[in-house]
Amino acid sequence: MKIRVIYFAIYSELLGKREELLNLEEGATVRLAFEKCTSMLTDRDELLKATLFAINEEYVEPSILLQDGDELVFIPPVSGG
Amino acid sequence: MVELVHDIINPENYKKHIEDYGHGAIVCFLGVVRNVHEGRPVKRIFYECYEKMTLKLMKQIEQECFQRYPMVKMVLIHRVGMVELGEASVLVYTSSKHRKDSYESSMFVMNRVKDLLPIWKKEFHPDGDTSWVGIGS
Repeated sequence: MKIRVIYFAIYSELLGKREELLNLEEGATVRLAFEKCTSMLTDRDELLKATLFAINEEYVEPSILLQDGDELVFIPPVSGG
Repeated sequence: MVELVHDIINPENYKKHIEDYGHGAIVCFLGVVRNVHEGRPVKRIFYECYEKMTLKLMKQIEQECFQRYPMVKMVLIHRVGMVELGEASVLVYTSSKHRKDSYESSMFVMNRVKDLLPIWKKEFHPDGDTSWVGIGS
């Protein structure tokens, strides 16, 4: 299945891109996608602790299964206001 | 009403949305860029957001506000892009019959903004360095 990942803020800077299409096996979770996308980051575990996730504009848990066509976003600590 | 804007927020432009001759109280809250954060000087702040999700959640916050304070009128505006010192990044405008509901609903909306919206601040410091708030990079 194909997942669209959009990067914002620190993720966009660290990974050097705004989005990508990800090919994943059926049954892949949000957390698996995160690990695949951020494998080159040395401080990935620290980032993961501070990150929330959204699928199709809804906050979700990292254990949620992804579906073909989903839009996934990693949400670092928010600071609106 | 809720809105994301890229330009300077002028509260006067939104006053008509909360004015009501039956309301005796208006609270106008502006969050503005200040020159220091956690002891470090700040020159300006860039606000980035996940726009589709932010707008959806701003509408959710508006509904939550109306459920909790049914007689309140409210406006929530958030700015994105580069915001200079002293300029407003957020406006919460509320009105009600008496002051209690205006004050409380304004605080409620701002707390939800800070907890919920996928918006990120990148601080620009006078020494040329930058940092994302909450990340410690």
